[in-house]
Amino acid sequence: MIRVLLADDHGMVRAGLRSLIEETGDLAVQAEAADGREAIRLALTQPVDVAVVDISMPGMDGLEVISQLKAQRPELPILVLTMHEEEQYVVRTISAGAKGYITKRSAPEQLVKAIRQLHAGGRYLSDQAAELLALRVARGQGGASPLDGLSNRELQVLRALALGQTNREIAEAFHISVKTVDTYRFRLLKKLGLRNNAELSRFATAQGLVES
Amino acid sequence: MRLRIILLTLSLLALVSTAAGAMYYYYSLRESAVAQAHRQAASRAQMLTNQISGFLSQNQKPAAALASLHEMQQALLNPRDDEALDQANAVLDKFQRTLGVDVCYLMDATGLTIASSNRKSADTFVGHNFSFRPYYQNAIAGKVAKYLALGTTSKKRGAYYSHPVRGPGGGPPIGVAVIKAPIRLLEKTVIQPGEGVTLLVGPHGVIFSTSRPQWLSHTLWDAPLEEWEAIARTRQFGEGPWPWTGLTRRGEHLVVDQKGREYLFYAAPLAIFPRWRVVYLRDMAEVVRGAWQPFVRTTGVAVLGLCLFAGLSVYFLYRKASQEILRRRVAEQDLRRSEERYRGLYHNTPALLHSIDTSGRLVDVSDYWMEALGYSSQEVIGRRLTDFLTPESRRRAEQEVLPGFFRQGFCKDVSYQFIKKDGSVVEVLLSAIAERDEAGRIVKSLAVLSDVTTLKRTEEELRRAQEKLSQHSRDLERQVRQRTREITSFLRYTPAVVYMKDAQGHYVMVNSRFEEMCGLDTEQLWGKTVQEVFPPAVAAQFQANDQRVLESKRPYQVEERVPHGGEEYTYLSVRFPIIDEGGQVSRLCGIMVNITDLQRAQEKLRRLSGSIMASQEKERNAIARELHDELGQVLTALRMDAVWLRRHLEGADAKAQARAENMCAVIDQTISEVRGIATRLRPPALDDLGLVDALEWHTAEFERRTGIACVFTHAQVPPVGDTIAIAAYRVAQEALTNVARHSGASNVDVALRSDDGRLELSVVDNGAGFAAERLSEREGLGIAGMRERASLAGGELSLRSRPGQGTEVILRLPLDQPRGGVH
Repeated sequence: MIRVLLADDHGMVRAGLRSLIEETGDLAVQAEAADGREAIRLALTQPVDVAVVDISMPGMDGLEVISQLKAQRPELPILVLTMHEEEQYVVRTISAGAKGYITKRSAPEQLVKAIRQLHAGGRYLSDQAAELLALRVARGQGGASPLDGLSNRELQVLRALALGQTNREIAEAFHISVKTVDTYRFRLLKKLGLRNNAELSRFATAQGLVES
Repeated sequence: MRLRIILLTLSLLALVSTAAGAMYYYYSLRESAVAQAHRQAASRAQMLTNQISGFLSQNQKPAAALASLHEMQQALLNPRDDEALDQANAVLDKFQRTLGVDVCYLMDATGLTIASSNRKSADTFVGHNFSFRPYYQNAIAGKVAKYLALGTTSKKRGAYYSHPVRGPGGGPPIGVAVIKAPIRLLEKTVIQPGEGVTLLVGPHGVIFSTSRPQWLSHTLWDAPLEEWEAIARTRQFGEGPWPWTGLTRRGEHLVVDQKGREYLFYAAPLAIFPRWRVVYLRDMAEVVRGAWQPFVRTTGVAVLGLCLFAGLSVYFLYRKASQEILRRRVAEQDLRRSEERYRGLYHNTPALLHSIDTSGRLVDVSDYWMEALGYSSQEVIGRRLTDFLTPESRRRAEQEVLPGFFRQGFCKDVSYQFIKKDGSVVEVLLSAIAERDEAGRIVKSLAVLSDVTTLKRTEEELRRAQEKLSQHSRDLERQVRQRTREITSFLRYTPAVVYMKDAQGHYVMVNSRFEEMCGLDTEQLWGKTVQEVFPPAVAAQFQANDQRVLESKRPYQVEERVPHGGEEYTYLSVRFPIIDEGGQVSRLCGIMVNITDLQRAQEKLRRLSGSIMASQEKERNAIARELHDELGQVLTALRMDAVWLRRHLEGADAKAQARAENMCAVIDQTISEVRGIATRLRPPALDDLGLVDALEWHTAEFERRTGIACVFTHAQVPPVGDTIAIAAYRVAQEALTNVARHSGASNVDVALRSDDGRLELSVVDNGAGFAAERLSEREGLGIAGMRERASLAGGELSLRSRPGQGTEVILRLPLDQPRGGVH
């Protein structure tokens, strides 16, 4: 039995989630919180295995909730469940210490799977979110990195090119036009002083953007 | 002229005296040269005599030797013996060759030549009898003889040396041996052409040998015919004729030829030839030339120079004097001309002038007089003056004026009426003075007439013009007063402060508003400067702005702050210079409008606009949250239920499952729309994650939506306040919207950086851009909104664009003074 802490300010949503969890049989909602403070209190007092936390709750900033939980119960895996679909949220919450991130919209399909994965000690992230995270981490290493002058999107395109993806594949993956991808490629070569895709690939490897 | 002659004479005298001196010098030089020549000639003559004597004595001894030879004896003794003759001839030949003489010969006692060295030549002496020759006669008489003569056979001059040939054992001579030497040799060595002329003169004055060949065989002096006969008889000098050299004696030592040429004459007798003389002549001209030439060579140049100098001096002095004379002449001419001018003036001057004599008749009138009165000269001169006056004037002239004038010698401003030729009357004023002769008697008058007709008319016209002028100036004054009233009213009632200063900054005019502003009245302000009227800070401000106008000479508009009544007021101030005709600033004028209230209203408006914008943001935020959190959550819950329904209907009721499926899709779409609306109203990331994440999301979204490559970079951006964040985000959003709508760009860079307490956002595209002058057209495109946002956040927005070179929007915001939160 996996004991879940549900923290969401919206009762109706909580009810929906609870039914999703409890339908499984081996998962149980151990505690429910309607705001951040309560969520922390419950997480510290109740024997919960996984905390499912909405980051847009009144009273306390969602990111603050995550960092406090992380600080006080580091072993408790936190799954962020949110209305926000922007990748920036993923990066920030994971950076703050969450282990997984799903949108409320995808909850019926992914929540249970995600809880299980986290409980098993893993992470739960969409591919794109994972990649964005990796880029952030690569850049966030401090010091003067050649990557500092690049935007996220540039980093993404750089990585994709380094991995051998075609312009079309990249365009589709990022929902941008093939022409835009080409523009990015050109800008990358110019900014980094490189000549072709092979050099781009070598550069990305050297910078730890891709595994060699 | 006289002076000129004197000068010329003096110059000539100077020249003459110089010449006389030179002459005297010349003659004394010549005299001494002549004296010296005399001495030389005397000694020369003596020397020549000695030389000639010596020469002519040479062959005396060879003749004696010849005569003493045995062969001579034998030949004379045996004249038929050919052998003896041959031997004698051989001896003669030998002598002739050895001595280098003309001929050696032998004569018998009768004087017949029996043997000779020239026996084989055409002019042989053999067979000729020379018994007439004195040398034969002397020798046969037993004496040795010398003789100079022209050969009768050979026709050659020679010196004959004879010696008697005696028989064996002595006794009287049996013949004579003769040697004839040529004179040629003498002439070659002694009597040569040289400094003078050398003559060897025989008896009767016949010239036997000379250095001047044309005088050979001439007689030295003019010889009478008897003399010629005597000469011919001697046969010594051939047969003649013996022409005259032309020389005549002038003195003991002076002769002259027929051309008048003078010669020094010195003669010495030749001792060995009685009656023979040696004469030496010296050309006087040569002597003088010889004395004069060295002098000319050495001092000639100096004398010439001196003469030249004297000549030049005379010339310059003469010139100087001439100029002086010329100057005087010009002065005289001027005087004459001035007299002429006076006469010309009298006649041509545009004044009425006349002169009358003592009988009152006109003797002279000026041309203008005649022109003015219409008469000609013939009609006037000689007539009485009174004939040209009206009867009344005439009476007055005859009774009062003329007698008075001739008594006193002048009259002044006598009023006359003259009658012109056309009959009209001319009013004149006459003034006259008398001209007197040397004795002081009045000779005639000189009168000046003023035509007061014109004067009177002119006075009248002037008076009328003055009247008109004063009327006009009264009008002007009235107009000026009216204008002044108008302008004063304007100045008094205008809400603006108006003042005028001179170029040095002294107030020369102010209006009542100005008085109110500074609390002083016009009298107190007059002539004061800003420093004397306003507090130092205000004065400095005014003065700086004044200076700008004075320097640029252009109007200048500026806002100025002036405190009065305990409050500070803002004025919109316009200054302008008044430029005088010389291009200098003569006045500095200013008009100031109090815009304090306007500014306050503007500030209020700005604050209102800010609060409207802030509350709009707040409203949007609230709505977005509501939509996102409430409606979104509800929809999410609903979706969960729909999914649950779909799952439970799976396999049970296909139709219901399809409905549930559809419901799911509708809910999903609704969620997307709600999220879209909420995000557009206010992106949650801006509040939740901050400006950087919000811009990162927005730029990525922009790129996805528009297909324009949008690169967002950021560096060292600290957390910023809401006002700043919202301003920056909204400006970026608006700028990107413009890029998407208008630029046609393929590429846009969004950069966020903080630097020096400021946050800078730039949005730079590579699109079409636009001309700066068309910016106002674009203000409608959200630029005004962006500016407003920037201004509310205390920052500024700059926009740079050029056609074809993209657009750059830069927002600069202060980081240190974030205004109060929006919420």
